[in-house]
Amino acid sequence: MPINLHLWLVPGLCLAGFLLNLVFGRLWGKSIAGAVGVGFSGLALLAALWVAHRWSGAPYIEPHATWFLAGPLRVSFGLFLDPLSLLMMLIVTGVGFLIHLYSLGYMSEEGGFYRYFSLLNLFLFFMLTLVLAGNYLLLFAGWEGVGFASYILIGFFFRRDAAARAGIKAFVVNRIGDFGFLLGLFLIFARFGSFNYQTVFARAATLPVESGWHGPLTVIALLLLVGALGKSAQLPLYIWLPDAMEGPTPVSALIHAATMVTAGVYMIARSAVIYDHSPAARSLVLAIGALTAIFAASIGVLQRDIKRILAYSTISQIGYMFMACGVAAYGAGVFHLMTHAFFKALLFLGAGSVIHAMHGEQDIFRIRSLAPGGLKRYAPITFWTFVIATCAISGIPGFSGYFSKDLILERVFAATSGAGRIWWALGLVAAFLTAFYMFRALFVTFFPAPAGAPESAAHPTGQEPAGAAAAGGHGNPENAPRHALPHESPAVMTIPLLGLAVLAALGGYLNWGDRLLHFLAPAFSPTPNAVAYRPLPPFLTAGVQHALMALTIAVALGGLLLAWVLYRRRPRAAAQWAEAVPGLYRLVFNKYWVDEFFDAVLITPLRAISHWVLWRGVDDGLIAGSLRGIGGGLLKTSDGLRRQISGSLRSYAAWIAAGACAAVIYMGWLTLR
Amino acid sequence: MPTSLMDYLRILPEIILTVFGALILLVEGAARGGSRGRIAGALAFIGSLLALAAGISLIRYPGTAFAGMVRVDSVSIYFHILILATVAVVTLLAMDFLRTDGHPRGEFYALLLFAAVGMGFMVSSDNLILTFIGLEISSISSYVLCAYRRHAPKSTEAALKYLLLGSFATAFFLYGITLLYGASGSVSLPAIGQSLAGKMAAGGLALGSLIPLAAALIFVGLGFKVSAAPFQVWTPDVYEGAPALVTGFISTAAKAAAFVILLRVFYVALRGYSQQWFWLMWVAAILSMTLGNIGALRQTSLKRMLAYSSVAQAGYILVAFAVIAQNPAPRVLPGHAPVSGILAGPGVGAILFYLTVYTAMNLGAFAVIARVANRGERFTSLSDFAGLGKRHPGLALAMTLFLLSLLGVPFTGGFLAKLYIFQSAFQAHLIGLAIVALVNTVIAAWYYLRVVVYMYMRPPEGELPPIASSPAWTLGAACCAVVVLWLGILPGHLLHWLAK
Repeated sequence: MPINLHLWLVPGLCLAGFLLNLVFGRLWGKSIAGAVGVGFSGLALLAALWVAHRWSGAPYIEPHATWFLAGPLRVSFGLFLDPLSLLMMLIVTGVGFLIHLYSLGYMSEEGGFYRYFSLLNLFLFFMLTLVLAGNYLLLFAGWEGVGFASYILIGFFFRRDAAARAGIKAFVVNRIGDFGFLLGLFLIFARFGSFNYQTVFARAATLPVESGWHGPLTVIALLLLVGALGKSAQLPLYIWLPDAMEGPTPVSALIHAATMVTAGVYMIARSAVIYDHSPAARSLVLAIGALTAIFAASIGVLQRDIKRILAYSTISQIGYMFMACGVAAYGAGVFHLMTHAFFKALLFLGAGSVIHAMHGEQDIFRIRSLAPGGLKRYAPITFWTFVIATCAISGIPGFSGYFSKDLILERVFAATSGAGRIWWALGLVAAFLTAFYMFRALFVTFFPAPAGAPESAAHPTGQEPAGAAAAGGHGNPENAPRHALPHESPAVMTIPLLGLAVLAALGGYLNWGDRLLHFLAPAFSPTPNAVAYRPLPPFLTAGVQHALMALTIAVALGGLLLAWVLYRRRPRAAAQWAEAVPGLYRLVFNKYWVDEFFDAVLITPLRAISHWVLWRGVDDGLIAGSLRGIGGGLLKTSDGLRRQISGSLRSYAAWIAAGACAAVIYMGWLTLR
Repeated sequence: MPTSLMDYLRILPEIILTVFGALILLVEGAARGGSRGRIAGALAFIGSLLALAAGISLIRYPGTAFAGMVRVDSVSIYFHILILATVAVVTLLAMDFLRTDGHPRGEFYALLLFAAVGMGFMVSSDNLILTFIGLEISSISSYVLCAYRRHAPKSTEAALKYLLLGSFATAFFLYGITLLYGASGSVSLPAIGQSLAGKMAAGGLALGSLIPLAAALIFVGLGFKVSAAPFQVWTPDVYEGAPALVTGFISTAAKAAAFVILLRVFYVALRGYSQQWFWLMWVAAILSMTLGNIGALRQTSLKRMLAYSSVAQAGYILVAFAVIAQNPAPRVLPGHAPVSGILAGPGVGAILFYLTVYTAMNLGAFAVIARVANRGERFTSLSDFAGLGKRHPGLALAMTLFLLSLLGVPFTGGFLAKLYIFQSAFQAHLIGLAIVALVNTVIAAWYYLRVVVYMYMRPPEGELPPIASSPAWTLGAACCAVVVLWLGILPGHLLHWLAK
């Protein structure tokens, strides 16, 4: 019997923080509410470290109370720890704690302080439930819980219409994904008779690898993929994530960059055994990942709102993680998930710090024009940490993102051949675009405008940025005090920035000598002794590897260089290029009109049907009408019945006698028949 | 067969209750002044807790006692625990109610304990004569308890009606026992079961022809006790007239005990005739649910409304009885494995779970009513509850919880209790019955939620006298609320136990 790790403490502490602030938050002031929120997330981090310290390395199951029984189904609150969930737990609590700390400063001028912290703690609780669950159903409970927390935190500034709408949009789009996910869960239960990871994986491992699209495991894998697409904002269900930026920026950092949106990747990696049995489903994962990576990256190139740039880059980076899962390099995917959590959280917090410094301004070109001499002069810590994060995400050698992205591209290259290399090529182009738009954001945001730059660089349509300031992520604009000059953020915000900067810079070295991959490998294989760490194919010699590496580096540096030229050296060039291809420019600038497309094809008809057919016709006419009729009839019957019950003893005795006669006659008839 | 110490051990809860009941009467006679009721209340509480402990300890001593008259098996232990816990909670709830209302207290507690003695024998009896005696002990105590507000005409009227109609129904029950004895030559349930099984196997239906008649008559008697339609007519008047806490007690513990007799007689002794009595249960279930819910719609007195609601609740439980009639063969015969046996059949677990939840939520609802009704039970109408959410948020919240559970809203025990019943009905292919039950649940929403609407969305009507604080009541009501929530969120513990 292994030692009891008290795994429940980690989510339990977050739940305690949530409940305390929920119940008492209104009573105690901001300082205590904040201290409780940050304190309990810190305690959860300590508990997570304590667990990691005492963990033996073998998969550990912590059984808890039975949740419910239904026929042959027995679902428990069982928690589960293996390398994968350990890593996720540490990422969630670590990054979560830093963002909690940062929020103390960022949210200090907002109303609903205790509400914010209790919800943030609630999110951590659900996220930890998700990653520590020992069965698919508990995972789903966490999955739905983070969805709820995300919905309510996106709409945190609920007085603002856009925020409320964005919350609803996120919820509805996720619902489409969850529908597929649920069907997948039903199939898992129908096929394996259990939701427990161990049971499911052990049984799945005995099945043959399927070819084609019709095998049971393939169908399960595809349905789970639908859920992952919704949660992780991949094509075509990505549309909710850019709008989710209406939430407070630390929320975007925690939920919509570092943790929740990567839950789809976690779930696929967790279900590695199922995906291993379905090359067809995996090929789809690869294709969607690659397409999303390049699609979102191309949109990011022309965005002007700093948070939206980051949102599209998140979508794009998760695309890389899907690509890795698509070639069964789950370890590489999770590695990128980790580094991404570091640098993307840092980018968002940096952006929050910028927005804080600029009193709610989110348009990068306007930030440049509002900060004379460049923002880097006023906010040096924010600037330098942002530089580190940008280098990391762009894949500049030495920084964390370089290691993980290079690894994914290498694995995709190794696993594909012939026409399949197109996915690898797309990934490479997306890496170039990533470096370009991230350095564009860096140069425009922090550096002074170069001589000869147009006041507000080219944007022929010019519709997008207008609302950005008004709908600023920095809370209710009315609450934000208007100082004259930009300023550096307080220490409570810069310390998390520095902490994340260290992780974003050095996080890649955790995989030095493929140590992280070896550590994670057992999680992707059902039997403890099987070697899940896949050897590379023979054609991938050291020479080829070095060539690929050089290519990745060249691409990243190329993006950097292009951004440097266009936004520092030759500021007019960008506008000229845009004018050269106006159609393409508008297409990309308007994000390929995907939202408009969904609006015209799905939402408008749905609204019309809802209004005229479902509401006016079915609900109001048929259901309410018939209910009014039935209800009235029932009430009349009730009145009649009341008159029958007269209170007279004799009539009661007559009722009973009549009932007895009926029973006796019936039974007598049965006997004599 | 000589009696041994073990025989007495197996009826230890009843012995403890009797001793404490008698002790209360003695002490009450000797004590004077302010200490009178307080000592009686404390003794009753201690006695019920001791009996509860004895009931729990019976888990280690399953078997029969007194030549097979008493059977200690999982069902009897389970219901001993349920009933004795109910008694303990009622004692808590009653402590301050009796004082503010100016009633003598000692007799109340003594009667409560004596009623529990009867119920104890009802659930553990394996012999129809003992069953009858238990039923009478509990019924007669209940009649007196109903008349406890003896200066209120409604209360005495209720008690008189209960007594007369109850005696009427008991006659049917007794007649059924007689016929059963005539047919099988025994009053012991397992013996009756074996004898009937043997007769059926031999094809001798000449004497067996009495059996269906006996079943019908016994069903009439027990149907009265559980207020199943069409034998429910007495329920509204009695439940309305009796003191709210007494109603809470007889509508839960007494009903649960009567349901156990129903289970034992029909499931153990008359198992071979399940195809015949299936339709009795089926018709009674549909009638009870429908008449109960429709009757409740237009009630303005909350006590009367909950009386109809408890008729409907009995109907839901009878659905599960129809289910077990469809699946008559338990995996293990009750006579062979005392602590698992009877629970193994489908539907039986659902009955136990439902009765547990029902006891907690119904008792809780009546506890709140007793409190709001105040001195002399003047405030029991729906309009008296208007604005309760503002005036007494705690009481309103508790009432909402119990009502939502009675309705069967998720995260309350009532939801899962209904779910298991409906599920078992579907599994037994009783689709029609399940659909009627579902439709009835929808109808019930109207009158349960109406109370919630009144409490939270209507302004208070008129002045209500202040409600005195009562820690004992709060503790008792909290117990009910905790059980309702616990079984709604984490039913696993109880389900696991029931499955074993």
